[in-house]
Amino acid sequence: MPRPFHYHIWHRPVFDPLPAGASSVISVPRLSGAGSESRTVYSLKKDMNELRAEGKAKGIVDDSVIHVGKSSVSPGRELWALKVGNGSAHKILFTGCHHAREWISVEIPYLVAEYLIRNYRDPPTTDKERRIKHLLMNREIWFVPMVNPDGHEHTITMNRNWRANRHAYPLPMGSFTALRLGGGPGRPISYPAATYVGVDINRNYATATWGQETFHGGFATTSRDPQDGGADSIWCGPGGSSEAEAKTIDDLFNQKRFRASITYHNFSQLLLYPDAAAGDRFVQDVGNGMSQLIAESGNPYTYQSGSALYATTGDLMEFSYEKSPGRPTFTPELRPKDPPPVGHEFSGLPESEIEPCFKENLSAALALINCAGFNSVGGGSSCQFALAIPPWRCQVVLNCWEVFKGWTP
Amino acid sequence: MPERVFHLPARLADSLLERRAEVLGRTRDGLWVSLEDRESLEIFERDSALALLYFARAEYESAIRGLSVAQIEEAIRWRLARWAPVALENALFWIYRRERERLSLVALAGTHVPAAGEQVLHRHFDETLRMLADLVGRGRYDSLPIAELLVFVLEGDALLIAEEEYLRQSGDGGEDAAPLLGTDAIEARRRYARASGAALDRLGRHEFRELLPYSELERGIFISPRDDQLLSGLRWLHVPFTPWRDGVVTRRSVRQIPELIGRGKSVAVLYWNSGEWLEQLDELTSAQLECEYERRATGGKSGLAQAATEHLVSLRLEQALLRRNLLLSSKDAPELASMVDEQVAAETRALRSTLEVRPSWMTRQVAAGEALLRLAEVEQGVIEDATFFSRLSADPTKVALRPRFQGIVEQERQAVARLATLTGGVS
Repeated sequence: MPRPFHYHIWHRPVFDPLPAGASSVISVPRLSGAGSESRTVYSLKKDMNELRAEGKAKGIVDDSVIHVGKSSVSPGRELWALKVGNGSAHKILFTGCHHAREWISVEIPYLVAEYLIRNYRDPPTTDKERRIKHLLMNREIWFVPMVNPDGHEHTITMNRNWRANRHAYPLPMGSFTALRLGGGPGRPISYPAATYVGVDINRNYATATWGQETFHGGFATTSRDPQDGGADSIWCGPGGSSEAEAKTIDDLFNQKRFRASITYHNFSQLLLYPDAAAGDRFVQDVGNGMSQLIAESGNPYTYQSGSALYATTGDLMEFSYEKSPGRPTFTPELRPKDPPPVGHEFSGLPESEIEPCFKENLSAALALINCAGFNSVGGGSSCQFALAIPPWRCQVVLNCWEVFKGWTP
Repeated sequence: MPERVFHLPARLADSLLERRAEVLGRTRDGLWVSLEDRESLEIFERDSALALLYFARAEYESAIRGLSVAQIEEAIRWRLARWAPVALENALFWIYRRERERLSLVALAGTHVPAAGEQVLHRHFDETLRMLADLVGRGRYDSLPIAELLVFVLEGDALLIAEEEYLRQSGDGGEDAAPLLGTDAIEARRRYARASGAALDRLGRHEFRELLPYSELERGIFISPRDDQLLSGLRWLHVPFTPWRDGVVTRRSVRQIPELIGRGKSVAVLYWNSGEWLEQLDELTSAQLECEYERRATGGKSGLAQAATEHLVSLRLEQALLRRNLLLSSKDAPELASMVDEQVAAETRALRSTLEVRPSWMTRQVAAGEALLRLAEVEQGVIEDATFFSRLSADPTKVALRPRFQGIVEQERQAVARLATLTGGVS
């Protein structure tokens, strides 16, 4: 019997004696900060260990990869990881939870990994199984569902609305003028002496424009002012990839040279692509295809450039495109819609939303994995790549995403 | 016997026959009713489709005040879809609220008993705080590294210092808050913060050795008028907002308010704690939110001052509970435990004094002379609530919650017995 859907937390000792897949009831703060409420949760560490073991037994997971690094605050929480698939030529990165309060963003990459491992069959007996086997034999997929474990832990112990990491910087009083993306007058910033906690990891990546401020509607959306750290942080930190979390992913990119990547956030129901990829025919084809696949669920996500949401600097998507130009990289902003009909959008998103959110994103995620092995838009009447399945089953494939049309879990 | 409000699917309507039930309204596919615990548990034991909507009839009455019939039905449907499936998960918070009221009543009663009784009530106050700390902290802080928990405590002290300094300078708390804002309170908190910073330094967290953590005071505010630029900015920042009157209600920090005023906006504080607004966004319909905004906006200066004071007292309570949890976690660090123990004792005395002057979280105003009787009622109410929650958590998906409720019943019975020496067995 499938287990119910609950959110994951990083880990707690209470899970240690429990059987695999077990949930536990913990207390989390209320949104107001007054009092607690009960939540049934799973341990990400424990569930990923279980998937790792299952995948290892099937020969599709490298069990030497447990995590890819540790968080900023000593001694550091592990950024749990799974390396799935045996096709090292085409590597893909899935990340979630750059922003601590976006609980649903942990679940989607985790569930995609779970889906691939649980549904791998050798020999395959159905078309779907053949397709999954093809992906796992020809791709190497890295899953890091919780990039910000310190921040996430903070949302379940102290502040449900916390977004940043938990790195603390004692700074003397200071003032300077910050540069603005695209030029124009810089913003004078002055701040008091204090210990500033909380860098926005998704403003911290060492992109070419790191540290340049951005604004939308009169509000800063990337800030160099440490006063803009804290719960709603948009503070880019003191330097590009200064945060252990961003540095870990930065290093992983340098080592693996990912050919595709996706970083989950919420909310708004958008599928964002990097501004720099606006004119890239292949990336646009993949993105449009993924958007069409999501729309098949009946709950479409709007496909648009990152700056159409708001311009930022130092985010992972732009970083990925700088590191792997011309390669597909996307940011889905998951449920709920914007503006949400009612309710709190981040850690208040009911767990009943997890399953439908996963289902509507699955085929797009599989398509991205597939597309990592392509270099150009498909079309015409010839095969675009050598399928791993026997040649006599080779069929004309219009493009890398279309084969996932109508895919249901 | 407490009355609570439930939703029943239409197929269960017959189960109400020959029961003491008051039908409060009907949805397309069912009805909502007020039932005593005995009746509701009998129905629940046969069919778990009975959905708890409100923990108390009074809570329901308060939730629908000012709504039209259609708006009430919308509120019920929303509650049924969103809140009822996790009603028991919210039950700890319900008990927390009752315990918080109890704490105020104990402090208030202490001002009106002979010296011998005072000692009993001081102990009762301490025990109530211990229960509250357990309600808030168990399953939440208990596996956290001690340094991390100490950082939270330090951040809490820094926030309180910032809030108290703001209230002193702005005068927003009016005469209501004035007695609570003596310099000694801020000084005490600064001492705690210095001691915590030094302790963190010893634990290897040198970032807090000299400087306080920076604190932003976040409010739920009404900004008017709204325009496209404002809406676009809030939307793209992922800051929640709801349109209301000619403006929007949203959350911003106190630091950001002058900038909004500089853009020609008028700004009014509706919520001193912006998280309280987020919580209501999660639980209320648009019509209910508008009623709430209206109530807060028309409260005038005195309403604002009262809300500010209650916010301050609530922050102090939360901080006291957090520090008690730190004390529990620091058993293996004697030097730290001794420091925290001292702070807990001083903070308990300060909180008791605060609540003597400014009783908070009261569901019904009582004079000091009536506080003991009301206290006995509240304690009895907690026993009934926790007993009911325990029975309701027989559902296999909720059974893990059961020991918690059973423990609360036991603790509360002990509290009642302790108090009986003062009330002559009234409780």
